[in-house]
This record gives sequence, structure tokens and C-alpha cells, in this order.
Amino acid sequence: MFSKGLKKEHYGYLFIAPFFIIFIVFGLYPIVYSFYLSLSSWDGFGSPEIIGFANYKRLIGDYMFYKALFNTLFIWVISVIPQLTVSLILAVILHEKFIKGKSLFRAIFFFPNIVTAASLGLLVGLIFSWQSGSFNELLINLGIISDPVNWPDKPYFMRLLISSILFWQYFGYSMIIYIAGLQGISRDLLEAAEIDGASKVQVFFKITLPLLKPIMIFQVITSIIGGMQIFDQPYTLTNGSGNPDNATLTSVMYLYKTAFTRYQYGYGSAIAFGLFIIIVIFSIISFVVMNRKTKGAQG
Amino acid sequence: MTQKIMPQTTLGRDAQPKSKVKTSHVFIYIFLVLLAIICIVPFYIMIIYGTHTNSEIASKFIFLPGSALVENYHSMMENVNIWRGFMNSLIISCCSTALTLYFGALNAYGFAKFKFKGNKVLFWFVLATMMVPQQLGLVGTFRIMYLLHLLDTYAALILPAAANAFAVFFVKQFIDGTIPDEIMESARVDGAGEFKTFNRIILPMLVPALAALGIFSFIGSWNNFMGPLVLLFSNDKYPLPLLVQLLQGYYGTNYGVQYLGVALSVLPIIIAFAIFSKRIIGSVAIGAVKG
Amino acid sequence: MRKRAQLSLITLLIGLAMLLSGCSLSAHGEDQKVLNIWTFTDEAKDAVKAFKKANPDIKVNLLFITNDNYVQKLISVLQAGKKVPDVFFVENTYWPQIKQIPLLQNLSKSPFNASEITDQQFQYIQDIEKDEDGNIRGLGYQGTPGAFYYRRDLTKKYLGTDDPDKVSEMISSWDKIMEIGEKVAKESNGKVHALSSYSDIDIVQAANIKQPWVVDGKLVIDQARMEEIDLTKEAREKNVEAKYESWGSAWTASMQQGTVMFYAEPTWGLPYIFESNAPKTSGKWGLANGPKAFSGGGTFMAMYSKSKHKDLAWKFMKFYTSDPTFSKDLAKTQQYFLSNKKIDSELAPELTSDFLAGQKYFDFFEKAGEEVPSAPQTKYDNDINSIWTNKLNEYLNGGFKTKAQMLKSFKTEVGHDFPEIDVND
Repeated sequence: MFSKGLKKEHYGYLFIAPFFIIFIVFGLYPIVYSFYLSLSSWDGFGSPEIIGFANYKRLIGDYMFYKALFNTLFIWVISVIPQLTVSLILAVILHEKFIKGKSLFRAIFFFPNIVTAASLGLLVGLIFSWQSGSFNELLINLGIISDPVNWPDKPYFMRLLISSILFWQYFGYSMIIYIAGLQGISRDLLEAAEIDGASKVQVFFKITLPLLKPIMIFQVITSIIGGMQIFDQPYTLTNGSGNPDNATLTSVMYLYKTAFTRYQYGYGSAIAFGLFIIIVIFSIISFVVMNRKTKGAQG
Repeated sequence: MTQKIMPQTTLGRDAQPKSKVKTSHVFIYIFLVLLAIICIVPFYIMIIYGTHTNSEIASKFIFLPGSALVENYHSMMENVNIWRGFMNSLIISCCSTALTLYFGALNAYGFAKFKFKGNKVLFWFVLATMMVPQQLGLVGTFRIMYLLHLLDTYAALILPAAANAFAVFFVKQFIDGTIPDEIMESARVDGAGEFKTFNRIILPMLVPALAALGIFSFIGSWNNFMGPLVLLFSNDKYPLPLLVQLLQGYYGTNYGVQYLGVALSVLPIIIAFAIFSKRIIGSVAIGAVKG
Repeated sequence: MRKRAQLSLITLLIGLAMLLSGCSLSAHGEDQKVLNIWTFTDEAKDAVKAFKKANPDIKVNLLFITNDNYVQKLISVLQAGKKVPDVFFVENTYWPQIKQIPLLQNLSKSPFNASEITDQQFQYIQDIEKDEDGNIRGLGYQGTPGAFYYRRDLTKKYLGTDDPDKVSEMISSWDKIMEIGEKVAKESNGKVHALSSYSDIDIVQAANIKQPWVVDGKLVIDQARMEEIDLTKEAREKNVEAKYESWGSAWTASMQQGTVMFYAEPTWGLPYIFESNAPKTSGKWGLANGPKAFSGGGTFMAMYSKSKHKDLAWKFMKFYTSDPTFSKDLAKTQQYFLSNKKIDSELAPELTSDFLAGQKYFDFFEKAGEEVPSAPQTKYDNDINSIWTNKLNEYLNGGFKTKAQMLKSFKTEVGHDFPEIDVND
């Protein structure tokens, strides 16, 4: 029979086959098709017209692409730095034994992560809206301001607001992952160090932190990949507009707007590939940098 | 483990000067409680505001419940059926999660335990796909769904879940760490076929990893906004995130109704989380250590 | 054997997913006498109900998508050529873009001969319904001339009258409005404003352009738009407008509170904006003519040129736009001003509104409708309009120091988004 003729190791192909079939159809085909489109000009009606690398040429000189990229990076950096530090501090605190209600705190901190990002964008949009947002009304009630402030019209404020949403949504998640990493570190090691007279801070920097490096690399890289694709929150927060003055237009929003509201599918696809290349570059850079640091710390 | 150690260290702590411990602890608790408040306040606002009329919301700051809950609920249900959206979300998320878990595990097992030719290259290929933004293939995804007659169907959102690179990576790490080759060997000696071995023996062993992964992918699918935005047309198939956005109606904005809609879209998750939080967090942690 | 069991498990899983989708696939079978309609407005529900009553043999599937995603969905199905409805509603904002898509049925042709219907409509609506070559691509059922809705209590207090003709005379130019605005703001200590927002100026000016945004591939900024920049700035600086965001909740609340004297809105503002947001102010409102005639919004029905049920589609469109019984009923029960001026003028002498203190509003709008100019359109209108209002809004909020900076930024963005448009002077 067939199975007898098949060498044991070749069963591996059968195991991975379903995944790859689905992947080729729903993952690879769309990407290849998008690449084909990126070399063409197409508004969705009729058939695409091949125009070579003109879209990529346009991309390289496109100030809006760089602006969107800047917005995305800005929003990401402002959110990820506190996210990764606060969550580390929390993880260490909540890993301590004297804290009461640990699991309650963990649950509360993790909680924002499970809430639909799209709903969050809407909610925050409502809270900070100009003339009827509860934030302005709170400030007026407290006597801090007398007229409502037009928050949605302030570019940096809106970027910070998105960063805050992201921070708020992800610090609990990062914390849980750090805690998991901490649980992997032997308690004996830490206690031995403390008995040797090392202070808590010393233990943290000399032992805990280096041991957490792999987890940190994991967190940084996954957050780069996710962070460069921010879409839901700014999209629903600004009702798809990227206002004010495109300050909250992220790269993916720009891609979406170009392809799906302006119907420039070719150029939209080129933006997608541009973004992909940038994500790969950032991931590699951060991987290399963090790895080198690890070696330095150990050596 | 941890529980056994706990008394010892508490003892150790007690030996330190009491006052010093207390002040630093107080600060830590204040910090924790503040953060917890920040986590909860938006939900409080959302629920309270959902019970007020539009003009109340427009005219003053509110921190107590109002009386317009029923009214808001009715005008919301006139426009969108939130419970239908909830069902849609549930169907899509459950099916996608099931596919992700089974095929992710199958594939991971194939990579982890069979040294076929091209194993490494293909695995790296799978990993590389994790870096591809979902939006990259959006236009192409629309095209393939059209070719396969899957536009405006749940399947368009469910089927692709079978090829989830993160799941493969995640489960393979777990298999590498916890499942020795001997288990397979002994199963083979017993004459079990490869697939039977996988389904009967390996799959149950993967439960901790799958539970963690299942939660990730369920949440991911539940919160997916872009996919349905592009692939679904009919309102009655819309999952929650899209339905909530629909509340920003054509003729003006009713803030009370919007707040209520957001609140209701989140409420089932809040309840589920309140019940299962320990388990969920535990699973995430398990996943993270292995990953 | 085991492998087969395995395979069947996989097929079962996939099959399950297919099944979930399958029910929806089979639901759209090619039955006879089924008419598929897509709409973004719930108004269509009543029309469909009436249409079904008149034609019990026709089954109508009405798909109601309530927000901005509607147009995107519509365009994607048109592009895919699949699941396209037989009849679809398009809002005025998107109509210029949609009407140039070659998949819309030319209704000028026989057997439709839509001009028989459109001849009875206001001229400006007829012009909107036609494409660049003068072919009718859609039918509008709604008449949308605009008015300056005013609070009678406020005009009485500050202007000494609430008579529509006298009020119209007092606001017959922007200069007069600015004067009133300054006066009102001063006398009320900044509590009451003449206009609700800069949009009240925008809607009027945008309806009075002579040249479209793009002429022969070049971006053109019409004189009316240049005036708009100065007018809105003046209104902002002199405290003439209340700075509300159109459609925001503070804006709608102001109708109830009586902090704004004039709102420039079209016919349908009466039921959809004022009555719905300020139900307790019935009898406090009036209609006046502002500095220029204008129109706003409107909905058009188009037919898919590859539809298998063109006869049914046409029957519905014809019913909605010209059936006298239905139209009159719609006008009377829902205060719905029609595109068909013949029917409007029949109703004009009898229809009054309590909300407007008994004013003969059909009579008012029928006269106003004759004055509405035909503003030229291009397929870029919606996109360029939104860039324009964004930049204008920013300019008013102090984001640009000078008008020149605002215009420069506007041109740059148009040129960026549409490389094929020449934006240099």
C-alpha cells in the first residue's frame, strides 16, 4: 500500500501540506497578485495596464508616504517605550510575593488588551471630541478651562492620544509575557544573590535583565511588526480621515485610503510593498542590535 | 512550586525593619491602584454615558447613570442588531480559532518531528511570512475571494485562518521543548499510524499550548476589523467591530447610542474575561515561556 | 484507511466553514421577479413597502447599509461584477464619481426614455442626473433646494420681526449677515450667533460655483470658493458663526437651546435635522432666503446595466419618482419635498408645517428650487471637496497663517492624490 512505500520522514510533507495549500491560495496568491498590481495602473474597472516600476518611482518621491511613515514611527515609539518599561516594572512587582491581590491586578492590567481596538478608537474619539467630549466637560467642570479645547485639531495631541491607546492596550499583555519570562528564571539564583548581599536593584540589573533578553527581543520584534501596521485605532478615532492635516494618517491607513477609497490599486500595492520592506529592515536592525547588546552584556 | 516557597520568603521579609517595608509598599500599591483605575475608567465612562440622552451628553459632564438606557437601546436596535453581530463574531471567531489550532498544530508537528528534505527552508519561509503585513495582500485577497465565490461569506474570513504562521511557530516551540521523540517511537512500535499518533497522542499533549494560542487567535479574530470591512457586504453578516462603527449613522451622531453600542460590544468580553481571567492569563503565560 | 479518516476530518472542517458560507450563496438564486436594491437610507423602506403593495408579484430584496462604507461596497461589487444589485441608491456626494462608471444603465435610451420623467423635475436636478455626454444615468426622487432656517424667537428679539419675507430681505447679502452676526453676538454677550458653523457659508458658496474643480486636466479654484475663504474667515473672526461642528452633538443641541439664529440647510433638514433634534421647539422656526439660492444633498437611483431584471428595476424607479399617488402620499405624510415640481406645485398651496409656525413650506421650496443654479461637477468632487474643507477648517483654526499658505497646501495635496491633475497656475 501507499503508506508502506512512504518513508516515515516523508509523512512530514503530508502534515504540512494542508497548511501550505491554504497558505498558497489565501496568503501567497494575494501577495503575488498585489505585486503584479504594483507594476500596473488599475482603477478596478477593465483590466490592469502594466506600467513597470512607475508606481515605485512615485513612492520614492511621495512626501505623504514619508509623512505616514513618520506618523507611524512616532506613534509606535511613543507607545512602545513606556509599554515595555512599565510592563517590566509591573512584572517585577507582581512577581514579588508580598503583593496581595496579584491575580486581580494582573487581570485588570491585561483586560484592555482583549477589547476590540476599533471600539476603543471610537470610544476615545467620543471622549475627546471637541464640543461634547466628556474630557472637555470634565476640564470645564474642574475650572481648568472655560471654553472647550479643540483636541482633535491638535496634531501632536492626536498622535499622543493614539500612542496612549496603544500603550493602554498593550502594557498588560507585555507584562504577562515578562511575568512568564520571570517564572522561567530560577528563584534559587535570585535568592542566592540576595543572600550574598546584592540589593534588589542590583539583582534586577545584573541577573534578571540579562536573562530576560530573549523575551525582550521577542517583544520588540513582535511590537515592530504590529506597530508598523497600526490601523484600527487611528482609523476609527478619526473616522478614517487621518485628521488633522494627516497627522494621524498611518502607513496602513494611507495604503487603505489609496487602494480602497481612491481606487488606485496599483499605487496602493506599491505602498504595501514599500511598507513590507521597511518592516523587514527594522526587524533585522533591532534583532542585530539587541543580539549584540546581549553578547556585550555577557562578555 | 511557588506556593511552597512562599512562606519561607515572607518570613525572610518579616525580618526586615517593618516601617521601611511599609512605606515602599504603600507607594507600590498606590501605583498599582492608579494604573488599575486608568484601566477601568474608560469602561465606566462608556457604560454610564450609554444611559444618557444625546443632549445630556452634549451639555454637561456626567459621572452618574442616567435614565435613557431603554430609549438608547431601542434606537440602537432600530439601526443595528447588536446581538446578530455578536452571533456573527462568535461564529467567525470560533471557526477560525478551530482551524488555526488544528492546522497550526498539524503543521508544527510535521516540522518538529519529521526530518524531510527542505524542512528548514520551508520552516524559515513560514516564519518570514509573519513579517508580511496583512494589508499587503488586501487587494489580492479580495480578488481570490471573488474568484472562489467567497465574497460576502463567513468562509472568506474563516478559511485563511488555517494558515497562521504564528501558530506554527508557537506550537513548534512547544513541541520541541516538551515532546520527546520516544513517544512517537513507542506509538510506532504499537503499530499506530502517523495521523492516529498525532490525533490520539500528540494533540492531547499540546493542550496547554493550544489553549494559549486559542485565546490569542480568538481575540485576534474577534477584534478583526479590516478583513470584514473589505470582504463582507451584508449588514446581517457584520461582526461586532463593524456594527459598532455603523452606529455613526448617516443623519447626525447620537452619542448616547454610540456609547451604548460600544459598551454592549465589549460587555460579553468583559463577562467572559471576568469568569476565565485566571485561566486566560495563565495560558498566555504558558505560551510566552515556550514561545 | 486511517489516512482516509484523517482526510475526511479535514474535509469536514472545511466543509463546515463552507456550509456557513453556503447558506448565503444559495439565498441569492436566480428566481424570477426578484429585485435586488441597495440603499444607504431608510427612506427606501417605505417606498419598497408601497411598491410591493402595488406590485404583489414582485419580490424585493432591500439591503440597507447605513454608513460611509456603503459606497465602497457598491464600487467593489461593481468592479467585481458580482452580487451587483439591480437598483442602487447613491447620495449626492458620491454621485458625480459613480455616474461616470460605465456600468450604469443609460436611461435616456428606449425603452426607459427617462426624460419623460425628468422633464417634470427642477432644472438643477436634471443636470445632476446627466453624465458628461448628456445621458441620464440616474433618477432623483428628492427635491433639495435650501433655505435659511431661522429661530423666530431670536429674530423677533434681535431683528424685530419673524416675518419670512422681511427676514429674507435682512439677510439678502453676506455683508448683512455679518452685521447681524456682530450685533447679535454683542447684545447676547457671545451667547447667540447668527450662523451655526462655517458650513452654513460653505453649502451656499459651493452650490454657486461656475467652474468645476478640474477643467481640461487642470485644477481650477472657482471665484465662489475664493470668496468662501474670506467669508468664513470673517465670520470666524467677527464671532458671526458659533464654531459648531456640523452634525456634532453640540450643533444639534444648539437647535434645542436656541443659541443660533440661522442654519443653512436643504428641504430634508426639516424632518431629519430640526424636527428630530429639537422636537420641543415646534412653532419656533421659519424659512427665509439667504444671500444666494442653493441646494444640498439628494439621492439618486441608478440601474445596473447588466441587470437581469431591468424591467422590474425600471418599474421601481419610475414608481418612486413619478407615481402620483405614492409621491403625494410621501410628500404629505413625511414632509418629503419631491424632485417632481409638477406634483410639488400641486401640493404647494395646501401644505403647511406646524413646526414652521404654519409656513407654506412647499410653496417656499418650490420657488426656491427654480432659483437653484446648476453647479458643474467632476468625478473628483467628493475627494477634492473633502481636501478643501479640511484645509479651510485648518485655516480657520489657525493652522495656516495666511490664505496663500492654505491654498498652496491644498494644491499640493490635490496634486499628490491625483498625479494626473495639473495643479500649477
